[in-house]
Amino acid sequence: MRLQTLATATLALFAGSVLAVGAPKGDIAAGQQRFEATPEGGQSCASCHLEGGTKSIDGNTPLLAGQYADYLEKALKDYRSGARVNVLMNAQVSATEGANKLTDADIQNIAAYLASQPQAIHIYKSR
Amino acid sequence: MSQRDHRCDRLSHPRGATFILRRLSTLTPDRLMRRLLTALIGTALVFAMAPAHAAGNPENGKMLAYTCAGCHGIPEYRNAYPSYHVPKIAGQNEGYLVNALKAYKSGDRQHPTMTAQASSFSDQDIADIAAYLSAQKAQ
Repeated sequence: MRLQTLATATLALFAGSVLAVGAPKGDIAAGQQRFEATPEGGQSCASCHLEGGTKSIDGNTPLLAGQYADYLEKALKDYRSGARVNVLMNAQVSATEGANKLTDADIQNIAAYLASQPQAIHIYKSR
Repeated sequence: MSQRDHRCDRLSHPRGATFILRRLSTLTPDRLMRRLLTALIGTALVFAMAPAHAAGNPENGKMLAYTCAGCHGIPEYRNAYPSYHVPKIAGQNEGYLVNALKAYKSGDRQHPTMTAQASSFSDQDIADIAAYLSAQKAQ
């Protein structure tokens, strides 16, 4: 009996951890809202990364739809801290004045939203 | 007089242009459109083949991009520390890829492996890689 309980508990714990790794942490709907919102004195993400990141205004602006969520989170946090330098993105996400600064939750939500979009980019296969 | 000479002669004739215009005017709109399109495509090809700027050569890019697959070609592959997925880069925009590689080279973007890779590439290499990868659209 005790062994069975232990086995069930272990299994539940294992299943839980797998789910935790697989499931996106952010809120997709909230991410879409933040992605499309135009903050006062700023620009929305969607004004350059068009149509959920499946398109973009020019070739210098990356396609984001279908990118890994954790990579997008890292990119946004690096722009916010200044570890990654890009004049436009640094100003966009780390503005100390105005409502444009992204919180950790904003970043998680936006990343989850973009990762959930139809893949505009994919894994490189050499052939 | 060979046929070729004859054609040259006709074009150099003062009424040559009039002759061509008159002939075009006898064509049906459908045929005229097709002729105009052929001319247009021909002109476009000439422009496309001339290197307007440091255009990337995807053939060379394919060779150089072989190394990229070691990390970017493995589904769910992760960076060790900090832990996050190595980004998807196939089909990404050309200009963005050029900027990314140049930023690694200059230090504006930091990543030990990518800095090492990018530093070994010339600007032309980078253009070639970007031209190749950006053309790898999803099937």
